Amino acid sequence: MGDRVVFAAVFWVAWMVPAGALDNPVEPRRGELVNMVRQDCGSCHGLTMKGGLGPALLPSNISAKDPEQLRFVILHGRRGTAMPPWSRFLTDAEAAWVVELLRTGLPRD
Amino acid sequence: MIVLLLAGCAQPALRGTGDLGLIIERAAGRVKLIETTGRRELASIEGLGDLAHASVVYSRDGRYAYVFGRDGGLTKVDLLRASVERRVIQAGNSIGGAISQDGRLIAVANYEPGGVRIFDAATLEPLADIPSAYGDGTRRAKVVGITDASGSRFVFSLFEAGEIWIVDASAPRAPRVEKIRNIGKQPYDGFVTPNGRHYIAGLFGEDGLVLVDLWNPEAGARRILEG
Repeated sequence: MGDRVVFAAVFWVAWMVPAGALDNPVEPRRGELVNMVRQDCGSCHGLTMKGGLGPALLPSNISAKDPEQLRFVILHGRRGTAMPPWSRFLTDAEAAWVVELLRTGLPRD
Repeated sequence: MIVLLLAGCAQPALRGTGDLGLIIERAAGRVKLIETTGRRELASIEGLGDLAHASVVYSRDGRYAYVFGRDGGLTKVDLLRASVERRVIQAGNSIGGAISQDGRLIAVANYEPGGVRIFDAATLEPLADIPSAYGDGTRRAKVVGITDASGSRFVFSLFEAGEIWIVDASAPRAPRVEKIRNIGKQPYDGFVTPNGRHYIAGLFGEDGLVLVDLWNPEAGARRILEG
Protein backbone atom coordinates (compact mmCIF):
# COMPACT_ATOMS: atom_id res chain seq x y z
CA MET A 1 0.00 0.00 0.00
CA GLY A 2 2.71 2.45 1.08
CA ASP A 3 4.81 1.40 -1.88
CA ARG A 4 1.95 2.08 -4.24
CA VAL A 5 1.48 5.58 -2.90
CA VAL A 6 5.19 6.30 -3.35
CA PHE A 7 5.11 4.74 -6.81
CA ALA A 8 2.13 6.89 -7.79
CA ALA A 9 3.74 10.00 -6.36
CA VAL A 10 7.05 9.39 -8.13
CA PHE A 11 5.20 8.64 -11.34
CA TRP A 12 3.31 11.89 -11.05
CA VAL A 13 6.49 13.86 -10.37
CA ALA A 14 8.09 12.24 -13.41
CA TRP A 15 5.44 13.86 -15.56
CA MET A 16 6.27 17.32 -14.23
CA VAL A 17 9.03 17.80 -16.76
CA PRO A 18 10.95 21.10 -16.65
CA ALA A 19 10.89 23.09 -19.89
CA GLY A 20 13.70 22.05 -22.21
CA ALA A 21 14.01 18.58 -20.68
CA LEU A 22 12.01 17.12 -23.56
CA ASP A 23 14.58 18.13 -26.17
CA ASN A 24 16.34 15.22 -27.81
CA PRO A 25 20.04 15.08 -26.84
CA VAL A 26 22.49 16.27 -29.50
CA GLU A 27 26.24 15.75 -29.91
CA PRO A 28 28.48 15.67 -27.95
CA ARG A 29 25.90 14.58 -25.38
CA ARG A 30 24.85 11.56 -27.47
CA GLY A 31 28.40 10.23 -27.40
CA GLU A 32 28.53 10.74 -23.63
CA LEU A 33 25.26 8.82 -23.23
CA VAL A 34 26.49 5.91 -25.36
CA ASN A 35 29.64 5.77 -23.24
CA MET A 36 27.58 5.92 -20.04
CA VAL A 37 25.33 3.08 -21.18
CA ARG A 38 28.29 0.94 -22.14
CA GLN A 39 30.47 1.62 -19.09
CA ASP A 40 28.05 2.42 -16.25
CA CYS A 41 24.93 0.46 -17.18
CA GLY A 42 27.34 -2.14 -18.55
CA SER A 43 28.98 -2.70 -15.16
CA CYS A 44 25.84 -4.67 -14.19
CA HIS A 45 24.11 -5.41 -17.51
CA GLY A 46 27.35 -6.33 -19.29
CA LEU A 47 29.67 -4.24 -21.48
CA THR A 48 27.93 -5.83 -24.47
CA MET A 49 24.47 -5.74 -22.79
CA LYS A 50 24.37 -9.53 -22.60
CA GLY A 51 23.53 -9.43 -18.90
CA GLY A 52 25.44 -9.94 -15.67
CA LEU A 53 24.30 -8.98 -12.21
CA GLY A 54 21.44 -7.22 -14.02
CA PRO A 55 19.37 -8.69 -16.88
CA ALA A 56 20.42 -8.64 -20.55
CA LEU A 57 19.37 -5.48 -22.42
CA LEU A 58 19.84 -6.54 -26.03
CA PRO A 59 17.09 -5.47 -28.49
CA SER A 60 15.70 -9.02 -28.43
CA ASN A 61 15.40 -8.88 -24.63
CA ILE A 62 13.51 -5.59 -24.44
CA SER A 63 11.65 -5.17 -27.73
CA ALA A 64 8.43 -6.52 -26.18
CA LYS A 65 8.62 -4.19 -23.18
CA ASP A 66 6.79 -0.88 -22.93
CA PRO A 67 9.33 1.92 -23.73
CA GLU A 68 7.59 4.24 -21.31
CA GLN A 69 8.05 1.74 -18.48
CA LEU A 70 11.72 1.25 -19.41
CA ARG A 71 12.24 5.01 -19.27
CA PHE A 72 10.60 5.11 -15.86
CA VAL A 73 12.84 2.32 -14.52
CA ILE A 74 15.96 4.08 -15.82
CA LEU A 75 14.99 7.33 -14.12
CA HIS A 76 13.70 5.91 -10.84
CA GLY A 77 15.25 2.47 -10.40
CA ARG A 78 13.48 -0.65 -9.15
CA ARG A 79 12.76 -1.12 -5.49
CA GLY A 80 14.13 -4.28 -3.92
CA THR A 81 16.62 -4.79 -6.73
CA ALA A 82 20.12 -3.47 -7.44
CA MET A 83 18.76 -1.10 -10.13
CA PRO A 84 19.44 2.46 -8.90
CA PRO A 85 17.67 5.66 -10.06
CA TRP A 86 19.50 7.65 -12.76
CA SER A 87 17.39 10.80 -12.64
CA ARG A 88 20.32 12.72 -11.12
CA PHE A 89 22.30 12.10 -14.29
CA LEU A 90 19.68 12.01 -17.05
CA THR A 91 16.84 14.23 -18.13
CA ASP A 92 13.53 12.69 -19.16
CA ALA A 93 14.32 13.11 -22.83
CA GLU A 94 17.78 11.58 -22.39
CA ALA A 95 16.28 8.54 -20.65
CA ALA A 96 13.81 8.17 -23.53
CA TRP A 97 16.72 8.44 -25.98
CA VAL A 98 18.63 5.74 -24.06
CA VAL A 99 15.57 3.46 -24.31
CA GLU A 100 15.55 3.94 -28.10
CA LEU A 101 19.31 3.33 -28.18
CA LEU A 102 18.84 0.01 -26.37
CA ARG A 103 15.88 -0.96 -28.54
CA THR A 104 17.90 -0.48 -31.71
CA GLY A 105 21.18 -1.76 -30.27
CA LEU A 106 24.36 0.07 -29.26
CA PRO A 107 26.58 1.28 -32.12
CA ARG A 108 29.90 -0.48 -32.58
CA ASP A 109 32.94 1.30 -31.15
CA MET B 1 80.44 -23.38 -35.57
CA ILE B 2 77.60 -22.39 -37.95
CA VAL B 3 75.45 -25.22 -36.66
CA LEU B 4 76.02 -24.04 -33.11
CA LEU B 5 75.01 -20.48 -34.03
CA LEU B 6 71.81 -21.65 -35.73
CA ALA B 7 70.93 -23.79 -32.75
CA GLY B 8 71.50 -20.76 -30.60
CA CYS B 9 69.10 -18.71 -32.72
CA ALA B 10 66.34 -21.31 -32.61
CA GLN B 11 66.38 -21.28 -28.83
CA PRO B 12 64.13 -18.58 -27.37
CA ALA B 13 65.87 -16.39 -24.81
CA LEU B 14 65.55 -17.71 -21.29
CA ARG B 15 63.53 -15.56 -18.93
CA GLY B 16 61.90 -15.66 -15.55
CA THR B 17 58.14 -15.55 -15.15
CA GLY B 18 58.03 -13.25 -12.13
CA ASP B 19 57.43 -10.08 -14.10
CA LEU B 20 55.12 -11.49 -16.76
CA GLY B 21 51.46 -10.59 -16.71
CA LEU B 22 48.33 -10.25 -18.80
CA ILE B 23 46.29 -7.17 -19.60
CA ILE B 24 42.70 -7.90 -20.54
CA GLU B 25 41.43 -5.88 -23.49
CA ARG B 26 37.79 -6.09 -22.51
CA ALA B 27 36.07 -4.72 -25.59
CA ALA B 28 38.45 -6.31 -28.10
CA GLY B 29 38.30 -9.76 -26.45
CA ARG B 30 42.09 -10.12 -26.45
CA VAL B 31 44.82 -10.35 -23.84
CA LYS B 32 48.22 -8.68 -24.01
CA LEU B 33 51.24 -10.45 -22.58
CA ILE B 34 53.53 -7.94 -20.89
CA GLU B 35 56.74 -7.94 -18.91
CA THR B 36 56.95 -5.36 -16.18
CA THR B 37 60.73 -4.98 -15.76
CA GLY B 38 61.23 -3.56 -19.25
CA ARG B 39 57.60 -2.42 -19.37
CA ARG B 40 57.13 -4.01 -22.77
CA GLU B 41 54.36 -5.74 -24.60
CA LEU B 42 55.49 -9.20 -25.69
CA ALA B 43 52.49 -10.64 -27.50
CA SER B 44 48.80 -10.35 -28.18
CA ILE B 45 46.73 -13.50 -27.62
CA GLU B 46 43.28 -14.08 -29.13
CA GLY B 47 40.65 -16.78 -29.00
CA LEU B 48 39.56 -16.34 -25.39
CA GLY B 49 35.91 -15.54 -26.12
CA ASP B 50 33.91 -12.71 -24.53
CA LEU B 51 36.25 -10.89 -22.13
CA ALA B 52 33.88 -7.99 -21.39
CA HIS B 53 34.12 -8.70 -17.65
CA ALA B 54 37.05 -11.06 -17.52
CA SER B 55 39.48 -11.47 -14.66
CA VAL B 56 42.69 -13.43 -14.26
CA VAL B 57 44.63 -15.41 -11.64
CA TYR B 58 48.17 -16.79 -11.93
CA SER B 59 49.66 -20.16 -11.11
CA ARG B 60 52.01 -20.34 -8.11
CA ASP B 61 55.09 -20.64 -10.33
CA GLY B 62 54.01 -17.78 -12.57
CA ARG B 63 54.04 -19.93 -15.69
CA TYR B 64 50.32 -19.92 -16.37
CA ALA B 65 47.42 -17.49 -16.24
CA TYR B 66 43.80 -18.55 -15.91
CA VAL B 67 41.35 -16.17 -17.56
CA PHE B 68 37.68 -16.21 -16.57
CA GLY B 69 35.51 -14.86 -19.41
CA ARG B 70 32.00 -13.46 -19.27
CA ASP B 71 30.75 -16.23 -21.60
CA GLY B 72 31.69 -18.94 -19.09
CA GLY B 73 35.01 -19.65 -20.78
CA LEU B 74 37.95 -20.72 -18.61
CA THR B 75 41.24 -20.39 -20.49
CA LYS B 76 44.68 -21.51 -19.37
CA VAL B 77 47.35 -19.33 -20.98
CA ASP B 78 51.01 -20.37 -21.10
CA LEU B 79 52.89 -17.13 -20.43
CA LEU B 80 56.26 -18.44 -21.64
CA ARG B 81 54.86 -19.62 -24.96
CA ALA B 82 52.32 -16.77 -25.24
CA SER B 83 49.62 -19.23 -26.25
CA VAL B 84 46.37 -20.77 -25.11
CA GLU B 85 47.17 -24.15 -23.60
CA ARG B 86 43.68 -25.30 -22.66
CA ARG B 87 40.20 -23.88 -22.76
CA VAL B 88 36.78 -25.04 -21.57
CA ILE B 89 33.33 -23.44 -21.65
CA GLN B 90 32.07 -24.27 -18.20
CA ALA B 91 28.94 -22.09 -17.79
CA GLY B 92 26.76 -19.56 -19.61
CA ASN B 93 27.71 -16.39 -17.74
CA SER B 94 30.51 -16.12 -15.20
CA ILE B 95 32.13 -13.41 -13.13
CA GLY B 96 35.52 -14.59 -11.94
CA GLY B 97 37.51 -17.22 -10.17
CA ALA B 98 40.26 -18.15 -7.77
CA ILE B 99 43.18 -20.57 -7.54
CA SER B 100 43.78 -22.67 -4.45
CA GLN B 101 46.84 -21.83 -2.39
CA ASP B 102 48.56 -25.10 -3.34
CA GLY B 103 47.96 -24.17 -6.99
CA ARG B 104 46.12 -27.38 -7.81
CA LEU B 105 42.51 -26.21 -8.07
CA ILE B 106 40.68 -23.53 -10.02
CA ALA B 107 37.25 -22.43 -8.75
CA VAL B 108 34.95 -20.42 -11.02
CA ALA B 109 32.04 -18.28 -9.81
CA ASN B 110 29.05 -18.35 -12.14
CA TYR B 111 25.97 -16.21 -12.62
CA GLU B 112 24.28 -18.63 -15.03
CA PRO B 113 23.77 -21.34 -13.99
CA GLY B 114 24.42 -19.96 -10.50
CA GLY B 115 27.11 -21.77 -8.57
CA VAL B 116 30.79 -22.62 -8.33
CA ARG B 117 32.65 -25.18 -10.39
CA ILE B 118 36.02 -26.59 -9.42
CA PHE B 119 38.63 -27.73 -11.94
CA ASP B 120 42.02 -29.41 -11.95
CA ALA B 121 44.48 -26.55 -12.57
CA ALA B 122 46.77 -28.76 -14.67
CA THR B 123 44.19 -30.29 -17.02
CA LEU B 124 41.03 -28.17 -16.49
CA GLU B 125 39.20 -31.43 -15.84
CA PRO B 126 35.95 -30.70 -13.94
CA LEU B 127 36.09 -32.01 -10.37
CA ALA B 128 33.05 -30.59 -8.58
CA ASP B 129 29.88 -28.60 -9.24
CA ILE B 130 28.38 -26.65 -6.35
CA PRO B 131 24.97 -25.14 -7.30
CA SER B 132 24.17 -21.97 -5.35
CA ALA B 133 20.66 -23.15 -4.42
CA TYR B 134 18.96 -21.20 -1.67
CA GLY B 135 15.56 -20.71 -0.03
CA ASP B 136 13.37 -23.69 -0.93
CA GLY B 137 16.23 -24.95 -3.11
CA THR B 138 14.58 -24.28 -6.48
CA ARG B 139 16.35 -20.98 -7.17
CA ARG B 140 20.06 -20.43 -7.71
CA ALA B 141 21.81 -17.22 -6.71
CA LYS B 142 24.47 -15.41 -8.72
CA VAL B 143 27.84 -16.04 -7.13
CA VAL B 144 30.10 -13.06 -6.41
CA GLY B 145 33.29 -12.24 -4.52
CA ILE B 146 35.04 -15.60 -4.83
CA THR B 147 38.47 -15.84 -3.26
CA ASP B 148 40.94 -18.44 -2.02
CA ALA B 149 41.54 -19.07 1.66
CA SER B 150 44.08 -21.22 3.52
CA GLY B 151 43.98 -25.01 3.18
CA SER B 152 42.29 -25.57 -0.21
CA ARG B 153 39.32 -23.46 0.77
CA PHE B 154 37.30 -21.03 -1.34
CA VAL B 155 34.97 -18.37 0.03
CA PHE B 156 32.23 -16.61 -1.93
CA SER B 157 28.90 -14.80 -1.56
CA LEU B 158 25.43 -15.44 -2.97
CA PHE B 159 23.94 -12.20 -4.31
CA GLU B 160 20.17 -12.93 -4.14
CA ALA B 161 20.43 -15.24 -1.14
CA GLY B 162 22.43 -13.02 1.20
CA GLU B 163 24.71 -15.91 2.19
CA ILE B 164 28.46 -16.51 2.43
CA TRP B 165 29.70 -20.03 1.73
CA ILE B 166 33.04 -21.53 2.69
CA VAL B 167 34.01 -24.54 0.59
CA ASP B 168 36.70 -26.92 1.78
CA ALA B 169 38.02 -28.63 -1.35
CA SER B 170 40.80 -30.68 0.24
CA ALA B 171 38.91 -33.64 -1.24
CA PRO B 172 38.10 -31.80 -4.50
CA ARG B 173 35.59 -34.32 -5.85
CA ALA B 174 33.63 -34.19 -2.59
CA PRO B 175 33.92 -30.62 -1.31
CA ARG B 176 32.42 -29.71 2.06
CA VAL B 177 30.26 -26.59 2.12
CA GLU B 178 29.71 -24.45 5.19
CA LYS B 179 26.89 -21.91 4.76
CA ILE B 180 26.55 -18.68 6.69
CA ARG B 181 23.01 -17.36 6.24
CA ASN B 182 21.34 -13.97 6.75
CA ILE B 183 24.57 -12.04 6.29
CA GLY B 184 22.77 -8.98 4.82
CA LYS B 185 21.08 -7.90 1.61
CA GLN B 186 22.69 -8.48 -1.79
CA PRO B 187 26.41 -9.00 -1.23
CA TYR B 188 28.06 -7.95 -4.51
CA ASP B 189 31.78 -8.52 -4.00
CA GLY B 190 34.21 -9.82 -1.39
CA PHE B 191 37.87 -10.34 -0.53
CA VAL B 192 40.17 -11.83 2.10
CA THR B 193 42.29 -9.47 4.18
CA PRO B 194 46.06 -9.61 3.51
CA ASN B 195 46.66 -11.58 6.72
CA GLY B 196 44.37 -14.30 5.35
CA ARG B 197 42.06 -14.31 8.34
CA HIS B 198 38.95 -12.30 7.47
CA TYR B 199 36.55 -12.47 4.53
CA ILE B 200 34.77 -9.16 3.92
CA ALA B 201 31.79 -8.72 1.61
CA GLY B 202 30.24 -5.46 0.44
CA LEU B 203 26.46 -5.16 0.52
CA PHE B 204 24.50 -3.61 -2.30
CA GLY B 205 21.09 -3.79 -0.65
CA GLU B 206 22.26 -2.15 2.59
CA ASP B 207 24.79 0.45 3.62
CA GLY B 208 27.63 -1.53 5.13
CA LEU B 209 30.06 -4.44 4.97
CA VAL B 210 30.02 -7.87 6.62
CA LEU B 211 32.98 -9.74 8.02
CA VAL B 212 33.54 -13.46 8.57
CA ASP B 213 36.41 -14.63 10.77
CA LEU B 214 37.79 -17.62 8.86
CA TRP B 215 39.47 -18.84 12.06
CA ASN B 216 36.06 -18.99 13.67
CA PRO B 217 33.37 -19.24 10.99
CA GLU B 218 30.90 -20.70 13.50
CA ALA B 219 30.57 -17.21 14.94
CA GLY B 220 28.84 -16.18 11.67
CA ALA B 221 29.02 -12.85 9.91
CA ARG B 222 29.09 -9.51 11.68
CA ARG B 223 28.44 -6.04 10.38
CA ILE B 224 31.32 -3.58 10.10
CA LEU B 225 31.65 -0.02 8.81
CA GLU B 226 27.97 0.79 9.13
CA GLY B 227 27.06 3.53 6.64
